[in-house]
Amino acid sequence: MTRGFRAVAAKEIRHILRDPATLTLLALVPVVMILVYGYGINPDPRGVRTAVVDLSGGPSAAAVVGAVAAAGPFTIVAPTPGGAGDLESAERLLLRGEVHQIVIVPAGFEAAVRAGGPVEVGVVIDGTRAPASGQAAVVMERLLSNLRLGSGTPPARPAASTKIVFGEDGRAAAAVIPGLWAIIFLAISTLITAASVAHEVETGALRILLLSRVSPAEIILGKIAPYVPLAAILAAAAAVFSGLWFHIPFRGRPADLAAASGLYVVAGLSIGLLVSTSFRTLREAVIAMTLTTILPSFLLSGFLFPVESMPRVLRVLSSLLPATYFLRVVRGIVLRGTALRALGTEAAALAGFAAASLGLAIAVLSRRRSRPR
Amino acid sequence: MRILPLVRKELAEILRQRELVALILAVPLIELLILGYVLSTPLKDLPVALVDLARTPVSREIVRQIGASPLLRVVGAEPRSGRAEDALADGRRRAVVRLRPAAAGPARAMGIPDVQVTVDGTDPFTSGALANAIDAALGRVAGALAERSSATVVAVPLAPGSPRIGTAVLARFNPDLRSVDAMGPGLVGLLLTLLTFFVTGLSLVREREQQTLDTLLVTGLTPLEIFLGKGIPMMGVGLLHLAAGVPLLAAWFGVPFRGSPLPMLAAAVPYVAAVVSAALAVSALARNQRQTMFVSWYAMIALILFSGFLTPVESIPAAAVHARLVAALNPFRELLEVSRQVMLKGAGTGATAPHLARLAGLCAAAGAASFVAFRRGLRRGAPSRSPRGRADAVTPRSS
Repeated sequence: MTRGFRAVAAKEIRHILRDPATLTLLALVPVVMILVYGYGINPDPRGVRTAVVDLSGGPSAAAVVGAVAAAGPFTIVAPTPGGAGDLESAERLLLRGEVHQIVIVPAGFEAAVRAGGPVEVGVVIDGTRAPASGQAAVVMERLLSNLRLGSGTPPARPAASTKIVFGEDGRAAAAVIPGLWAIIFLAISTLITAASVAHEVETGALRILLLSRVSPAEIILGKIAPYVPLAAILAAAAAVFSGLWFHIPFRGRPADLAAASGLYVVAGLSIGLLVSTSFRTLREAVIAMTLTTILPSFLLSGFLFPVESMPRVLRVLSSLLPATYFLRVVRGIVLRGTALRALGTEAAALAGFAAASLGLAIAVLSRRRSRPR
Repeated sequence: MRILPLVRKELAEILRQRELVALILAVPLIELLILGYVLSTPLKDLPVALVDLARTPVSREIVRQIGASPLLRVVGAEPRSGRAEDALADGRRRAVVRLRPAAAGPARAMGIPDVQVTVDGTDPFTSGALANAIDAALGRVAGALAERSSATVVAVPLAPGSPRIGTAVLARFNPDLRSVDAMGPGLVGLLLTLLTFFVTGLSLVREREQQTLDTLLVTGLTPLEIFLGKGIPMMGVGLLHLAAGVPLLAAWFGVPFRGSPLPMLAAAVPYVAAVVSAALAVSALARNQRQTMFVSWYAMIALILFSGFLTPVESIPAAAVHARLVAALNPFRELLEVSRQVMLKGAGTGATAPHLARLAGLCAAAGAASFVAFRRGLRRGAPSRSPRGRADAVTPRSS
């Protein structure tokens, strides 16, 4: 270890310890983020306000209505005794947003069931609530297609035994949380270094550092070193806290997750340094970081929308985000129990990101030394 | 008006920094284009591994029907032995479908295979739709076979029994369930909130750090004048985003704007005012930019996630009291509701009135509370990070 590196690192540690209020805010990151994200992103449909319009009447129609009412995700708020006028009032409720979907048992349903013919139930959903309303419709389709009316034998069609594995049934939160770590770890690591460097850029302290005999590499490494354990502790706290709070099954090896997280956090810290050395104020750095790194990681990494469905341009953008790879790693290790060795491509990509963003940060700082603003 | 010079100074300060102008104006719009593109992409091409061990006409039809589903893409067959879970382990496939010869019995005589579907549940946002698409493909098999081949082979799968209930789903206001229509307005609101909060919040605390705030305080401007003088230009920044973002959504992604712009404006102005006030309050109370940044982050994430932007507010478990509370008092939620109603449902001022009233109430409360906090923060003097700066402060620290 060089003297320059040690001096910068020691200075950085003093900076961290000198400002306990900021440190407290930092320490709250894992708890706040898990409590907010964990409850704020919930793909399981729940409390979907439903209006039922039964235009048929009869025991089979009543069975359909009963099944919808009994299903966990749906709350019937507008029970209507029948008649065409009810569809209109249900539509009005849908327009005002007081009802999220309308289940319509069509006229002649009962007769069709008795004849053994094909029967259909109509579901009108509020498209302004996509994609959630579509997910609720998926649950409804499943519920209705599994419903058997009368006492006939099930039809001879190829019946599948479908099993959704790794997602704890009906508890999507368990599958969401590990994916969230990809976003939370990134936010923690990029914001920490951004805050620290941007302040020095603004006060001119960085310029003095650059004039000293300490090399850009020593500055960057010295600045990152103290934050690696800090970010690691915060990340581990976020993982442990949310794992216990939401009862996440941990199927893989913790050491694998720690190794992957280490690479990811170093990449995040370097990105934070890179962005903040490229801008003049913390304000610009934070805005740039949010727009170019954190928000895209949320929407492009495959956390909310599958990468496979994206057009080529977006797949390329997605492949440029470390979060994309970490998301795959964390879902594999935590939920599927996959070994890190089986996720070699992703692990290599994370290592590449860490090295590249460190190198780039050093390069930007060197350029800044030769051409100060 | 004494606040005019301050407004002018704030605007000049933003315009002087070319990078900041680019970040405030150009980058969010580029961002909106990229993210809107993500949202307008339908689910498709989800990789599914298929193993047909039965090799009967029925099983071949199943393979064909699964391959024909736009949601699914059949990828190379998987090793026949071993657990299906192992084939899913590396995440390259999202489901494994295995067709095995049925055990002796009528199904075997008819060539109907045993179908085992194993879906990877680690992506809960898509696993349900994926399972349904496979199920729907199986449902089409009997019909397709009956249509295509001679009746002798396949009258059987249509044997009478208790009917299976089909579902006809109709999505109103957004027939293709395009996420960009539903989430686009929220995305504009999110970018607006984010930028306004950061630009405003970090402006005041920066003056404190650089001690130009002291200069401002000795000019004799009252706290209210400083509050308005700093706030009004920032409101302009926020409303500019709305004015640029909504037409962009309409022009580029074809998001409809069916209602009148009036309720939209009636929602946006108080909302932006509330965001700016809150940011000023946080900024006045914080000691340095880092604290402002973290507090702003927490506040914004809570506002955005407990608003129904990503997943509905109703999905929040009843036990999460903190989340329910934020959702109940969330102005972003009301803004989102108004913009969805106006843009997609064609609502006017009348239909959105309850939301506008609640929004106005919430924003008035937030604005008033923010001003009180702001004044207290200003009065507290100018604590600085360095001990010497503290001694230089013009206003003494009150205890």
